[in-house]
Amino acid sequence: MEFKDYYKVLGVADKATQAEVKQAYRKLARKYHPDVSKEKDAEAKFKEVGEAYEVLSDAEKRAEYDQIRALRAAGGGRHSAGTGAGMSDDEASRQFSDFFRSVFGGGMAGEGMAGSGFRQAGASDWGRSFSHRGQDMHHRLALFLEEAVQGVQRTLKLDMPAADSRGQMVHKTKTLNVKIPAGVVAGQRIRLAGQGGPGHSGGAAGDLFLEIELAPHPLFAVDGRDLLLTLPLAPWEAALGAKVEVPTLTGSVNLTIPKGSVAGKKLRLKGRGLGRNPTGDLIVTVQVTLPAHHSTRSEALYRELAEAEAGFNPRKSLEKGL
Amino acid sequence: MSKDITTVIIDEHQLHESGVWLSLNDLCERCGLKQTLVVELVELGLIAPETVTADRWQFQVSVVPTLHQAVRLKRELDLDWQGVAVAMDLLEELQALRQQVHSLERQLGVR
Repeated sequence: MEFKDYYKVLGVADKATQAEVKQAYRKLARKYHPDVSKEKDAEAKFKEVGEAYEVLSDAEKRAEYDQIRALRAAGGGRHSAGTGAGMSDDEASRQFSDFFRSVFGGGMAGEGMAGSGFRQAGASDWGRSFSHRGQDMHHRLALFLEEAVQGVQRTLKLDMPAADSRGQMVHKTKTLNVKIPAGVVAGQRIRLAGQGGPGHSGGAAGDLFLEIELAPHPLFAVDGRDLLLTLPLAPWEAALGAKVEVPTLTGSVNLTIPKGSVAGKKLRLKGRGLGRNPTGDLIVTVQVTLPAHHSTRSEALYRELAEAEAGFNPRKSLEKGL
Repeated sequence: MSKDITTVIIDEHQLHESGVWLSLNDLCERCGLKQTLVVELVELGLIAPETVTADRWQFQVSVVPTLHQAVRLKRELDLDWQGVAVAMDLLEELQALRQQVHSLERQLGVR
């Protein structure tokens, strides 16, 4: 089992005061909080930081941990197992590492908060004794745009807190096959009634809330229910009009580009976006592009064009500011 | 670690679930929060009830994850409720801006 150096995790010295420990924890908690951080492994880091704080902020646990750490430094290596310090179910559900469990025991369900005052902040508002209903759970589910449009089946593995027959808190992996219908949009919350944490003493199970996220797509950007696509056109297509093939999430369509379509012009393909009732649109924004190299003949034609359009000032809008 | 497999088929109606409402009492019980606190969170604009009558509120079931997140932020970042409200507003704005940046980058062909 991997030994965890909680001082290193929080980046504090061995002799750090409680205030220093708290300060270090706060800073790292803000940095790695899964609701805030976009860093990779933020959730794992947040748990590790929480675990370190749990130990170092509690004088009794810290003393015990310091002994193990000192023994290890002296070459002892092994540490004693299971002193069985009481923890609340709330704390137990934060999934401590095997190392933590081996030292401080594995989460008894109960009222005794062994943790710090800080952890208890707000706990009085967050009741644990009166409801027998199971815990509501929240799970973010990232889908590709194609899956959101066509519907998809996903297998979710959820870590569920549960009490075993002796009232000990254990974690069960619940496997859920979820069939998601076509038409979900980003940020949508779907409630799966009764699929959250199990109820206690005959209480109903909690609900599972799935929050839909949409993964970035190489072609399409998302604006609510609308999809956005930038469509490159050759100058002559933009000038003369054209029929071009445009990709959508449900197959290509032929789009008529009107004559004289300037860069930035938006064309709307009704009903080719996301969601249902109503389905959004695909908004195509015209971009005019050029070949990287022109032939001598093309250059001659451009020169001819320049003469024919001598009266056109493409920078007229800039002159207003002069 | 024990395992069980459940299959859940979400029908289209569930995607537009607006029919599930919770009373103030139900919401408090469900989230383990005191009524006075939920009232304070409504005043802070963290969640918005539907006013049925002047003294009766109803909440969409989708406010439950919002409350869970609020409680989590308060506890884990040691914030006061005003701070939680600011953090959640900023997180929402951040997400919208990230999406907008991504969308503009696509349109400009940056990525």
